[in-house]
Amino acid sequence: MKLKRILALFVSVVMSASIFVGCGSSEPTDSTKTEPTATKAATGSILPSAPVKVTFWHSMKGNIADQLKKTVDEYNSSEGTKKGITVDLIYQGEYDEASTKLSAILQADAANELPDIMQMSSKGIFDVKESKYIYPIQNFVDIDANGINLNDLNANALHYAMYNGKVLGLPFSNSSVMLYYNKDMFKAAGLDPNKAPTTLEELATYVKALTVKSGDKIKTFGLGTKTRFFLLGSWIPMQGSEKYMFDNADGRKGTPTTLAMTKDGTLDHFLTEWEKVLATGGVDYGVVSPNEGFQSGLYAMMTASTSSMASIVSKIQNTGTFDVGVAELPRVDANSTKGTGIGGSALYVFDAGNDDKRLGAWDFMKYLATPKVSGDWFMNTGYYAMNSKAYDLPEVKTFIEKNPLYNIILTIADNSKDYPNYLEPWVPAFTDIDTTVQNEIIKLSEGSQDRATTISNIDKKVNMTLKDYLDANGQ
Amino acid sequence: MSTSKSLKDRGQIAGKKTLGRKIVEFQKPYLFVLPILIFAVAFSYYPFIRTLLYSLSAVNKQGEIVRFVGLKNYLGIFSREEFMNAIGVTLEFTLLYVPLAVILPFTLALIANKRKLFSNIYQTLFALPMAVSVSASCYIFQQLLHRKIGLVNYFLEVIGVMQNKTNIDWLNDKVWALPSLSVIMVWIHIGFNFMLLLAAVRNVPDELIESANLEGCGYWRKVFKIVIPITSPTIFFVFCTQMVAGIMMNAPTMILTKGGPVNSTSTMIYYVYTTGFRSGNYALGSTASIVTFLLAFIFLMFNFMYEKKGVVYD
Amino acid sequence: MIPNKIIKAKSIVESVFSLALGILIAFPLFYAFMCGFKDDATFDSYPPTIFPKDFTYFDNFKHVLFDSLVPRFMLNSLLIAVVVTLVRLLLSMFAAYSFAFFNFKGKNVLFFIIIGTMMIPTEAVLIPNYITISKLGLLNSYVGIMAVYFVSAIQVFMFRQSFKTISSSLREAAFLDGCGDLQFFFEICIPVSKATITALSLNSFVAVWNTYLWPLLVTNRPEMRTVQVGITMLAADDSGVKAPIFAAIAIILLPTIIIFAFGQRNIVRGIASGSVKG
Repeated sequence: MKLKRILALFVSVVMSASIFVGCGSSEPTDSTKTEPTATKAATGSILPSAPVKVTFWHSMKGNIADQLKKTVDEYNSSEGTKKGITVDLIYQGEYDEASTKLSAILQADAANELPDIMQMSSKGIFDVKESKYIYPIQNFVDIDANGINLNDLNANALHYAMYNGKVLGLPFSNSSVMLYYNKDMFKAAGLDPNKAPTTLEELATYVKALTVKSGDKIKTFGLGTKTRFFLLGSWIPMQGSEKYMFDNADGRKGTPTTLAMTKDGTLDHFLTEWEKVLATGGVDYGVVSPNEGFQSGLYAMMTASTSSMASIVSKIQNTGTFDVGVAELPRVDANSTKGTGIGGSALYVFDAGNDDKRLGAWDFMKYLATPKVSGDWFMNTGYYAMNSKAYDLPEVKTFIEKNPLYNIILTIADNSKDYPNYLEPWVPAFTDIDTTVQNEIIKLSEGSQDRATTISNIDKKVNMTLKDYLDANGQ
Repeated sequence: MSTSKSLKDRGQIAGKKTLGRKIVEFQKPYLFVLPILIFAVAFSYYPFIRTLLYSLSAVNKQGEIVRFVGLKNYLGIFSREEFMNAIGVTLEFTLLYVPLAVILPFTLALIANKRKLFSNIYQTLFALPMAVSVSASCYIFQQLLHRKIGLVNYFLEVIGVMQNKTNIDWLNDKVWALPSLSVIMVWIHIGFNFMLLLAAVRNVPDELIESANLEGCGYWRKVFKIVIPITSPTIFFVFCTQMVAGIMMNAPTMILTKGGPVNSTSTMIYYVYTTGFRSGNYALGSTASIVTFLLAFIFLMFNFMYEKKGVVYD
Repeated sequence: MIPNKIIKAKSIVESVFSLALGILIAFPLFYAFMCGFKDDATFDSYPPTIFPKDFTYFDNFKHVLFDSLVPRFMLNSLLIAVVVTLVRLLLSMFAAYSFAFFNFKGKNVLFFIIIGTMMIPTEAVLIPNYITISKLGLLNSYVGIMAVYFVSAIQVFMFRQSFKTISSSLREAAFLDGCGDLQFFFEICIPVSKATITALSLNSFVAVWNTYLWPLLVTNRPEMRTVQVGITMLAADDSGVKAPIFAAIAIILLPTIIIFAFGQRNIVRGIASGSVKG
């Protein structure tokens, strides 16, 4: 009897205790130790004082991920080994997933879960740009005389990663949207394969000529595209000076409070021109990534990022699938400027109180910003070389001679250099707002609503999302 | 039940109780329930109440309640086209999904019930999808349904249903995306539901079938008059769990369609995820959560009301 | 004689039809295995093929087994699914024992509270649960992934039903012989409920093995990811080619398929011997 009682008590104690034991034993083992701040790190040594592991979250896929991994491995086995810095590259899902994780961590204030470096696109940066954990690159530049010369960097890309006049992140995987086309199909349609459409109106005639139907069904679409922020970030601002999608300079001077493009007529003008293209009936207007369809011959032309260049060259041009043509994104009309917007992502440093990790991160970033590494990145992906000096390197010059398609990237960069404010916006709920705009334009494209309704729906819905944010968070 | 009485009897026989013993006896039933209760409170009720509070407040992006707003979020959310769309999509999905998720495995159970040549093999084959996880299933179907190199389109083309190159882009087509997802979900859940139903069908007493045979009943008559009524508790169980699964559907949407095209696969839980989590609008996301909960609750209530009429317990 | 032959022929036709149906249902699985053997060119080729060119192409499998974290993902998932299943069973049976055999103040309320969790899906309370787990310092830990799954209302309900089949006179007699609650629990209740335990363990194992969203959120380190999350993250390592993902799927499937192929009939028998009955 007594034994039984003891047993009963024992079991209940064990059961409740096990809950706590369970908690204790699984405490993250290598949590960031918040050591006393290395006293004079700010002005003194710019290298970590002890061997350190730098966690780097990224969202790259495919051949680009391979190139990134190669770069990190090279750093770890050269500079990293010398300085005791190991970069730990972790894929954390696509931009959206990775940023969602980051916001969850910040909301829970779980500083020791933060990465040391994170690649973030416009989708995630809004929520963290004022976080207490973000460590602006500007601070490093200010204390490290031999660090990165900001004048060497691609000015547009640098602008992309600036907030309120301060360099927040290091531009890294920045690209512009451009036009790729199938020269063989151009020839078959009786078009000059070396002349691409330059305005939306011209684009319409090309789409019409290139679309191939068999019966009612379309065999080849003239164009595969989706009007998302990446494209609007060029098509809206190119209509004049100081034209933005949102107020507060697309969120670079403060939280946007309202849509600008619905009020100043830029969206209306763009859609008017765009409807001419849609009227051909040869646009597949709902494909985020038309690359595969382009390769298989479903699309004669597509809008895609410059960062698709490497894979298009290797999978289509070099395999002889067909002859690829490249051009700048067509202008809205003949009065548009020649600038193309910039999108993509930058690298941001998070500081959870460990100076060594922070300095390790900085050292790795300096490595990335060297002309040689930037050049490799450019050649193997199609992203802009973050350090413009890369284009002067002999190996890069030879490479471009061998792969003349890459010239278009330099042309776009050159034509855009006077327009550094053509950027993807930084807004709250980026993906929701982007999706809303896309969906409304798709409804217009299907013909299920007219232009005026489209614009007023966009205006109403997007402003409601912005208002939600402002009501809860203030300006 | 005479448990307390039996305890008392036992106590009398065993002799006098000490005070400590009495306390243990009194606590015992609670001690047995306590562990599960701790977890139920910590990970269901506490977050539920917190979600409820969020839904009645303005919440900033740090997750702090800024002010109490009453039912404003609830009144507001029903004027949001995206949310109303999510309700519509969820209901449509549930409607497409639940009947298939019950009828198909039940049919398979009827087929597998008869012992025949190969029956061991095909019984195993019917149950096999259970071994495949959601994300793996999604990838397999993504490949099968691929617009160009997918076997489904190829097969349709070979048999002559679609003889041109612009085949259906199953997962990226406004009309087909949601039905495609429901077929994938049915496949994911078919194995387990099949086994539950097979077990139930096997439990139908042979005497009943034999006496029906003597009366000269046809096969389908036996199914409707005997098998379905007798297995109705299991069918009901499957129906309820699949209904909740349908209302809570999100993983295939997240992995395969991201709610697209044009929100045609954006379910309520996906809305909770995008609005509440991805965009940091906790108030609205929590409101959507609570509405989803209420919807599931109402549906289940209906089920249980109907249960009394339709389900036969022996 | 003739009718017999017809019946036999009919039966064979039915068998063949059933087998064909079975093959159709299991086809996606088979296809995944076949894709694991394909090289990139075969994988992307048109017209699509079911079979690989060559069954000796093991690069994908080698890559997954030796160059990726997939084996680790499987261990993680296995550990999580097994532990959650065991904890669930134990917690549910304890609670069910109390509800089946004791009368105490607040019994109905407590029962309702526990059954009520069925109505609160984990998906709907993601955000606050994330914060709780984070505040406990359990992000990126097994316990952090598992803790939200320990309560299973359905199990409590079913075990209560199962225990109620044990007559109270049996329990009284056992207690007269000096048997205590725990002894009675382990020596009588558990063996009596074996069939229910089999069915519910399986259900629970599969449910936990399949969870996606929660493990995705609470794991930031690759070595802590579960299979479900892990394979969606594999896309990054594999040059945008999906064939290795299918090799991973095939490898992940192998153990569960073996368990099913051999254990499936026992499982059905387990369920049949009386769990989901009213």
